[in-house]
Formats: sequence, structure tokens, C-alpha cells
Amino acid sequence: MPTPDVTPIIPELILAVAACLVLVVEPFLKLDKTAVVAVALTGLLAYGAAAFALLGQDMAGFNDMIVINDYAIFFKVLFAAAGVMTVLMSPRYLEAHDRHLGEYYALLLFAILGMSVLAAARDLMAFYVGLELMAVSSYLLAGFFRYRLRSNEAALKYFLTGCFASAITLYGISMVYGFTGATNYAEVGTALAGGENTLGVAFATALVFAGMGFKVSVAPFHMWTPDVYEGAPTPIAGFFSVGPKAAGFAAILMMFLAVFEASVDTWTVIFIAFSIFTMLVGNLFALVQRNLKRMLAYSSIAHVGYLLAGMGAIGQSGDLLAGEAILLYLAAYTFMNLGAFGVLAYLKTQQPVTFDYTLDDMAGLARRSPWAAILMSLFMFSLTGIPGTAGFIGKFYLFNAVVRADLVWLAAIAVIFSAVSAYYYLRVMVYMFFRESEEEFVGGEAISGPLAASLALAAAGVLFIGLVPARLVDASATAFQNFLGL
Amino acid sequence: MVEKVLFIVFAALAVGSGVGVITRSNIVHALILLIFSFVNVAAIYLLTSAFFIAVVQILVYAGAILVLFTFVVMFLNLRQYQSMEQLHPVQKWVALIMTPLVLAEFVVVALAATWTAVGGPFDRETVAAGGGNVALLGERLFNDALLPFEIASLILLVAMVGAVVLAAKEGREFMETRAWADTDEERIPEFVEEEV
Repeated sequence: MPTPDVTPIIPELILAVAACLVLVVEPFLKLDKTAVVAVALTGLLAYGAAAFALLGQDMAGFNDMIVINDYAIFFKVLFAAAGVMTVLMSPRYLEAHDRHLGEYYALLLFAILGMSVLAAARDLMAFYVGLELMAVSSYLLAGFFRYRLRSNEAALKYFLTGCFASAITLYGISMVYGFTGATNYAEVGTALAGGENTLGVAFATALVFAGMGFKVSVAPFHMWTPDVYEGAPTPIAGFFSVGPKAAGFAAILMMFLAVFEASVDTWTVIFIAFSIFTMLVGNLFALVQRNLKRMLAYSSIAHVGYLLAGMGAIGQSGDLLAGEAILLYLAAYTFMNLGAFGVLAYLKTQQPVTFDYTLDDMAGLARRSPWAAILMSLFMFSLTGIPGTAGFIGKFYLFNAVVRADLVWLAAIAVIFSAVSAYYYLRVMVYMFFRESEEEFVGGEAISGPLAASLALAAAGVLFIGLVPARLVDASATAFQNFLGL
Repeated sequence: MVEKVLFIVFAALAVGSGVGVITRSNIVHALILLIFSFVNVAAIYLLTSAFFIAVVQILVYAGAILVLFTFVVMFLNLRQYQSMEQLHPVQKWVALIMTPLVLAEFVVVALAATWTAVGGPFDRETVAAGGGNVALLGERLFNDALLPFEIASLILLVAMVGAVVLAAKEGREFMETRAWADTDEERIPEFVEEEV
């Protein structure tokens, strides 16, 4: 029996070893969990470094089920960055809530492992187990504060809707297998392109779209998002808003371009229609939220709407530009959104009892904690899409690609909704800088330690992408072209 | 001919006990009928020469999973809920409309379909030539589908870790760091409602 070549999964193996090591180290520790955090961080950095070292490789392994190429590596590095930021902002937050357990980091690493498999899978079976590994770990992380009602509610809602979504995806996949008798993306794509069965294929496409739509919270499958983000631990909510979304889009891009290539006309219409609806729902509901976590949840739905417009542009024109723009946008979005959640995690760590994520709690923040206010403003500017920040670069390339695909009207709608979004992002700054807090603030500690490192990383990412985007633009271009096999 | 008769007997027993599962109001009886149904399905697998699947069916489903179910049901003493009304009043009416519709759909599709036998790569001769059920299945599972298999094992690990995280009692050192540690009464985290 030939020994399988493990090169394509070296980064994943490192991550799995690190996660198991965390579980082994944890029982020997009492209250001080520094060792576990160190193991998790080392594991994530080694994972990112291993992926980076494999740059330029293009090979498939394990019976062509998983690949290592620039596309997969782009996402692996992105997940490593998101993981490092999440791990860094967690210890103090968990200590403030008296639930600093090592299993938290193990579950986080397993979730990233699932995402990594999802982004690199070239086979429906590998795709599905990756999706499940990511999902099961996420459900547990959402309910990590098991003695809190809101956390329980979040976990239960996430679990039930997530299972439902997985089952729908699986139903679609089973139909695809039924039509083609293959699970490999390329084989399925060829079989579907040569076959008839148009209605059945359209149905399977719709099922897979709906299932994945749940995962990345496309309206009207977005209902779970605000509740889960509100109830989950804040660093985890931030992670949910970037990690599984990026992984979901990595899989959606591959699925719809490789597997369902034959029904491109059908799904282009679906993506454009859902894009408009998602932008509408996300932005309008975000306007009326007074809870910042819920506001960020709806804003993440709005961002998914913009990304769907990019998918529509790919389908419409077959233009590479839109695919590159989606990767770029995902990278920019990872840093700015995780940064915003990081600032919230800091404020909650400072005042575990009184801070409740409302706009009123933000009042007078500029005087109490100027650095937090400045960082929050940077992330809000970036989410709005102000020039000089990552958000602007992301939106600029994405909307440009939509215009180039002859969808000027769709780009116009997206720009209008972006303008609407400025209201709820900049309102946070109005509260921070121009409102005075009604209660007297009891002194807390300044931003320091790992959390400072995490926020600095996010801010550096936002500014770096915003001011010198060339490197990332090149990277996403190579990654996407490589994925199409050009 | 013998096979056909045996198939009809086993299939009838499987379906019959299946109907029993959903009509018994005593949940323990329902579970025992479900085990019986699984055993009959295993017998059908045997008739189709899928020996390995038949054994797994009995070991895993009829054995491990269903026995576990029965234990849980007996431990939790669910009988007291039997008399409780579990349906929303509207559900009955929806069911009354939907059930005939689904049945009609099945009948229409079954009548309209043309039934053809599709031959896969395996029949009795090729299986025997390949070294039998277990050898072929093992080759498929541990060579072709090795990666999903290993990731599935990680999913099980995550589920186990999660069960511990969600269910384990927290250690004493953790309790003592909590704000309420100085009160006389020992408070269990599950009953403390805090705002996140």
C-alpha cells in the first residue's frame, strides 16, 4: 500500500498537533493558562509559516481530495492571522468572566482546521467534513459561557439552524452525486457540463446555495447571526464574523466556479438577487440597533451582500477581477471587523458588569480611554470605506469589478447602501467623542498585554492594506488565477 | 425464490415494527421495536450479500446506539411526560393536509417512474475476487477516503471535548476565584444568571 504524500496537509497537521497539545497541557495547569495560550499561538504561527513556506506549490493529494496552491495558502495565512488576533484578545476577557479554560483554544484551533480544509477541498466529501468540523467547534465556542442564558441561547440557535443548513447542503451534494456518480469537483463539473438534468441540477444548486447561505448569513437565512454574535464570547463573535465567512466564500467560489460551472446563468441571477436583498436587510436593520454587537452582526450581513455582488459579477462576465476583489475584500474585512470586536472585548474586560455593548456605554469613551476610541474610530472608518483604510481598498476593487461586469446599476445600489452604512458606523464615533457619560467611570486598566498586540495587529493590517495595497492586490490576483488553473 | 420469500418476510417485519415504533405510547416499547426493526434490516443486508454492513448494523445500531437510547430513556424516567400534550393544536391540521399530499406525491412518482436496475462496479463475483466485503470496503475507506475519515475522527474528538466543556463541574480553584466565593452558600454556576 503506498504511503500518502502529506505535503498538501502539512499546515493542517501542525494545527491538529497544536490543538491536541493544548488538550494535553491544559490538565496540568491551575489558574495560570499562559502555557496553553503560548502553545496555541505557536501552533497558529507555525501553521501560517508552513503555509507561507509552501507558497508557489501546486499539488493535489489524498486521491485529489485536497490541494495546496496559492489560493488555499492565501486563505490559510488569512485564517492564521484571524486566529492569532482572536487568541491574543481572549485570555484577559475569559479571566474577567472566570472561565479561562484551555479547551477554548483547542476548539478554536479545530475550527480553523475545519476552515482550512474547507478552503483547500477539491472533493465534496472533504468539503463536507471540513464544514462540519468548523461548525461543530463553532457551536461549542458560541455556548462557551454555559452559565449565561444569552450564551446558551446563542449556542442552541446556532446549533439548530447550523444543523439544518448542513443537512440542506448535504441534500444538495447527494443530488449532485446522484446525477454524476462522482464527488471530485473537476469530475462533477465535467459530468454536469455534459449532462442534461437541468431542473434537477438547478435544484441541487439552489440547495447548496441555501445551505452555504446559512453559513455566511445571506439574507433571508441570516436570522441566527445577531443573536449568536450577541450571546457568544466577544472574541469568538469577532472570529465568527470573519473566519467562517472567509472559509464559506472560499468554498462558494470553488463550488460555483468548478462544480456548478454549467449552470452559471442560473446562479448568477440567484447571487445578484440575494445580494440586493442581503445589502438591504443588513444595512436597514443595522440602522436601528443600539447594541453594538448586534449592529456589527447586521453590518457583517451587509458586507456579505457586497461580496455576493462580486459573485454575481464573476458569473456575469467570467472576469477574474471580481474573484481577486473578493479575496482582497475578505482580507480587509478580517482585520477591520476583528479589530472592532477586539475593542469591544477590551471594554468588556475592563467593566465586566456594567458594560453592555450599548451605544450609551460608549459615551465619553474618548476621555476615559483615548486609545480605545481612536482604534474604534479607525475600524469604523474602515468599515465605512473611508480612503486610506483597508475597507476603502476592498470596496473600491469590488465595486470596480462589478462595474466592469456591466452591472453598473448593482454597483450603484452597493455604493448607496455603503453611504447608508456610514450613518451607523459614524454614530458610534459621535457617541465616543461628543457625548458625555452619565455615570461616573470607575477606573480600569489601560489596554495592555496580549490584547494590545491583537489590536495593534488589526490596526496595522487595516492601515497597511489601506495605504500600500499593492502587495495584497498582487497576492490575491496570483491566488485567484492559480485557483482557476491559469 | 427462497430469497424472495425471505425478503418479503423480513421487509414486512421491519416495516411493521417501524409502524409500531411511532404508534406505541410507551417509549421503552417503541425503542425495543426499533431494535427489532434494525435487526430485520440487517437480515435484508445479509440477503444481498452485504455481510459486513449487516454485522455493523447489528453491532452499532441495534447494539450500541439503541441500547444507549434505552438506558438514557430509563434513567431520565420519561414516562411522566407521556400524558402531556406535545403537539401544537395547529400541527394536527397541517399534518392532516400535508400527509395525504406527500402520500399522493409518492404514489404519482412511483407509478410514473420506470424502474431499471443500475449495475455498479461490484457484484458477487468481483467482490469475491477482490478479497471479500471487508477487504474492499477497507481499501475504499482507508485509501480513497482516508482524508475525510481522519477529519471525521477529529469531529468526534471535538464533540467529546465539547461534551466535557459543557457538562463538567468546574474545579474548586475556579469556584474560589468567583466573586461569590465568600458567601456561605455554594452556588452552582448553572443557576447563576448573569448578563453577558
